[in-house]
Amino acid sequence: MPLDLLELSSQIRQMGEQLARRRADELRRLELLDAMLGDYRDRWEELAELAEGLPERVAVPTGPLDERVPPQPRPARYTALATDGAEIDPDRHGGSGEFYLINVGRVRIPYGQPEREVELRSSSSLGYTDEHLFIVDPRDPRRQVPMRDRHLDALRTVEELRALADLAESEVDEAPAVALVDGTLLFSVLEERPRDFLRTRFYTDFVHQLERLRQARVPVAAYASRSRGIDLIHLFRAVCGSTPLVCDICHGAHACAMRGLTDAQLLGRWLGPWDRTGLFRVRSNVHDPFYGAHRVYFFLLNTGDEIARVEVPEWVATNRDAVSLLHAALVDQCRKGFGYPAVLARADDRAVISLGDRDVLDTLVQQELARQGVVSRPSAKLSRKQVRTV
Amino acid sequence: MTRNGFVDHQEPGLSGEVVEASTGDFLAQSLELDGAPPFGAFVEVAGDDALTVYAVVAHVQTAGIDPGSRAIMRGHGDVRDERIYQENPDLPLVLRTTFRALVVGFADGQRLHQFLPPRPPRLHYSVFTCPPRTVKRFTRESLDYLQALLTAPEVPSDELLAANLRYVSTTTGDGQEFLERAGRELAQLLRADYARLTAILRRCLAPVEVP
Repeated sequence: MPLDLLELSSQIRQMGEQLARRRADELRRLELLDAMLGDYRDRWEELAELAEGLPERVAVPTGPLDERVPPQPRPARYTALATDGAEIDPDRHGGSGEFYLINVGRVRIPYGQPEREVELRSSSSLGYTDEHLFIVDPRDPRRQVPMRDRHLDALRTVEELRALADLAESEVDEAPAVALVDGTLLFSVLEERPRDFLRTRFYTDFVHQLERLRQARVPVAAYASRSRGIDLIHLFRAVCGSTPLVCDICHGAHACAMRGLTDAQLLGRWLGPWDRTGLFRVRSNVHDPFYGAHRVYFFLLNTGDEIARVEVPEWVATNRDAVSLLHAALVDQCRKGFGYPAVLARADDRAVISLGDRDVLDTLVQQELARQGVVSRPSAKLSRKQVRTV
Repeated sequence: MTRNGFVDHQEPGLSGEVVEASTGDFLAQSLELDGAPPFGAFVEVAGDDALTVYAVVAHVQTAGIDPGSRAIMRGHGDVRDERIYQENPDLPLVLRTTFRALVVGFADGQRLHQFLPPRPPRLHYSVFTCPPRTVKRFTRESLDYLQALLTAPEVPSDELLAANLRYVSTTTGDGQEFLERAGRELAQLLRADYARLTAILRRCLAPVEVP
């Protein structure tokens, strides 16, 4: 057995003690912060103005900080659309050559419309040409970045939204529709140098899909379960200067009271079950130049057991009816899905690539390579892992 | 009735599709959710080579399509029974009804045999509920297949046998006459086990009306 369980068990015990201490400390610090929040509760315009001038990514309030909005009654008829994706990275060690696979689960569930069909599907695509496998700098074709790891994640995120826009465009106007993806609209693209071509490549395509959703008039949202978002925390840290030694709240403590806390901890405490907070805009130097009219806003939602974060583009955030519909639909979805939107869970079911599926794919690829007379052999390292010698 | 992942079919008697096949039995996915043929019913699968396999439905199950998924309680407040399906229209696409059928014989051209066929039915071929005239034809000459039901492993064989006899007697309209013939056949097969014989026969009698 490769795990040293004896050694691990004492480490796990220490970790448990540490976590319990941290939890108690967080509660104490949240109480300290109540005073600060109370101070800024109605001065949100002042905060918003300050936020616009900050260099880091922060949340910009669009209303009182303690705004709590209960959900509207669930619409009798609505359609929930969702997509979710999974990928297989190019396998350097496998014998099947370089390729990646993206599998996107696409789901349409019409509620209260028995005459319409439910759609649970997935679409898979292989990337194997040079155009697929390398991202080329249009200004300098010698610069090529392989499509793998974080970049493949970014591509999958774009493909998820493309599939969602496809679903939205084929939607008929019979009942209001909402479109959901899992995670965030503010996905990250790693750039090695400033003004690199990678962000342009992914964000432009992503924003194009957001535009298609806007044209289709289907409000879109990204749903993050148990949000760890810290945009509002960043704002407050910028406001107070994060200088605990001279801070009224931290009283000369060795570290800032907001360290390690999340927006959900800060605002979620005030939310009753199914309530949402007001809307906050995320001001991000990375995303805003690309997103334009699709700048991202978010609200926090109490789903009974946890605080979720729901991100929407600006054209949804500024449409009161759309936000209200999304809120009501998400409440219904979380009720049906036992805390997580049912339609997203279905999309995830369709996206997951099981070990069995991977084996089938491998076999198909090997068979085709053999048919073409291409020798395919795993690397020495992989062979060693597959057959353990003693 | 909700469909079970099938496209629309209107063929009379079409009940499902073979999803697992072996010499002694096969598993079929029912055309409609909760729409499997009754326990004890005769079903048939025709091949491309004039070989038609006959079988008796021995087990019916409804569960999640994905082997890893489990159905959980969804009712709340006044949302119960059919309302649960209305509230969750995606359920029929993630649930399925399957039925296992014991192979009891086959037709090879015009000849009927009450023993195992040379090949199991083909995967993905259609399973039909046998029309009454086929049931009548299969049970007219011989009742050798009862032996197969009696000795079937991993099924409640007495219940299965009684269910099959009731099914045949009502489907063919032969009623009492068929039951008497089957009773004589069973008496031969179970001559050493009187208790079991009477237990099966009692299950075949017409239900007693509760006053």
